Amino acid sequence: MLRSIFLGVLIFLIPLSLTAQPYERVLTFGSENFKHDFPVRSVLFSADGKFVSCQEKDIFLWDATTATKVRTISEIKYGVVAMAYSPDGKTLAIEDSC
Amino acid sequence: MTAAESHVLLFDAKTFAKVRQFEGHADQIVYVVFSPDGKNLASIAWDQTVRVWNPATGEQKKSYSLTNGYPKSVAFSADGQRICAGSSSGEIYVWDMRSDALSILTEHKDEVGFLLAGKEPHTLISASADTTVKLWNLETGVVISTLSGHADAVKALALSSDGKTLLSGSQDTTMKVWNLTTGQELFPAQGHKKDISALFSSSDGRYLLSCGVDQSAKMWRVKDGKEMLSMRGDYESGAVAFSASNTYAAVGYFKEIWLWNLVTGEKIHKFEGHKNSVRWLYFTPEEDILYSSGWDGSIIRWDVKTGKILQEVVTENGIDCVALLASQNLLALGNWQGDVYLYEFSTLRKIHQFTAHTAMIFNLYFSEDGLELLTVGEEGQIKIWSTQDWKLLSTLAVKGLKKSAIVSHKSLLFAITEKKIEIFSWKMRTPVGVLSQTTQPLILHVSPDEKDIFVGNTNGTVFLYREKK
Repeated sequence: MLRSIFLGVLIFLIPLSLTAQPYERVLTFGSENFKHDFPVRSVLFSADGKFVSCQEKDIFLWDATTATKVRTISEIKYGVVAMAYSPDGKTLAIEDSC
Repeated sequence: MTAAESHVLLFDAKTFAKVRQFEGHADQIVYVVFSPDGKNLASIAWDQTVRVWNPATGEQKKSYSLTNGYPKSVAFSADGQRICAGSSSGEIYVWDMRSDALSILTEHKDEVGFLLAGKEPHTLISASADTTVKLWNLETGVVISTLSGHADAVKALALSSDGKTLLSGSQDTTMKVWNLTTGQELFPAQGHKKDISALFSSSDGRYLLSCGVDQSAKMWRVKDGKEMLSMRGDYESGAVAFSASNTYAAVGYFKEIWLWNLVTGEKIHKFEGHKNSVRWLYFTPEEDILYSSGWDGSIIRWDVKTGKILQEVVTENGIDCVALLASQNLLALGNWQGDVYLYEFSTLRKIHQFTAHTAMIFNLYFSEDGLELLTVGEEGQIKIWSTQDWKLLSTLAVKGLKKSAIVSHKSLLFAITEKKIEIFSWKMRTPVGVLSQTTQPLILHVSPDEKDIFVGNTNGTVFLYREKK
């Protein structure tokens, strides 16, 4: 009796686990380069020629030859209003306000 | 340095100590900018003025008034001799500070929200809510080039140090990179720009047709995702079909259907007859007949060669979705009232009707064996019907159900919900998996061999999901 209940549970579980993720994403048709999730508020060139952009609460650094995102800064509390590099290009200033 | 209520404050960049205060503006200050040589400071405010200050003394050197709109952006020319202000009404005011002469540039059709000096002293770059960026010659007031491509207001610009590359950031959530010399976009987006409205794969599964609200239809190679052909129309495209030999594509652009030759990439002719948006297209295997249906409630049988109407059947209450079960000569139509109409396909004769949902039917789909019909209702339910007696077999309540749901050969049901494709077992009607996306899926299509699932998204991309081996 106990064995038959146990078997019943097993039979029920096996097909479920086999079909859990039967498909995987393999390709994308079409692409939007430099896609953001929100309106772009400010854009900049970094001193080493990278592209910098910001949306509401994130700053993105893009490789200028491959158009791929190389870094994301998301420690923004309220929202980026403006950003600027220092003249030596080493420091990025961000205005974060509501 | 910051703009407070109606005075400009100057701070020491190292100590942050306040150095000076500039009084004069009668209303809130919008933006401040230094001239390239640092000898002038300009400010714009809601008092419709542009003021130029001596940052060393605090003296107001110039005050210029806009005659139309409010200043939204300000920039000095590269030589510091001109001060330019972009207006909320689309004009750009340019004052030569040597003579105080004003010229107004009027090509933009909406707010000029960002201005930037070009590399040459006589050039200016403007970003507008009219979606364009313009490069101006300030000597002549003539537009040198217009950069078009954004889908919404352009909000920000940046120029590379050599003056050749321009970045533009837009409300449309994209950044674009331009070669300013040629006006060409570097790294242009590929594929559709907005919502995908229909997908159709070729009988051999090697190609995919997609169409979208960006007025275009595209053919893709499934092997590597290469865009093979773009077919631009005059209106939103809402339906697409391959002919059996993949020689032709039919694309519904609003009320019109255009027949394209996929080999030459040329438009052959236009089929006109529908009174509202075309939503479904189907070529017979011989490619001589094209079927279409539209929101106007009509099904039309067309002669492919001549583009002439051979037969037209008008149903009541429109047609929102169509499913064809060719092996059983059966055509199912769903309408906004929640009714399913069944037609004998060869004669377009109505044979049955039943009420499936209390609200609009988004989507219909026959199971692979033809024994069951699935209907997707606006109220968030998927219903499964027997095609023998049209009795309801099962109801699935799917939270956040969107327009599309399909069944694959593995007896899996794919239903689109909020940023997810939920997979159910068709036989057991139970959830078995989820495909999560960061972009919102809109529409599903299954390849003829049912190994590939194509998902069209709101951002214009199409994802291919393949059965795991």
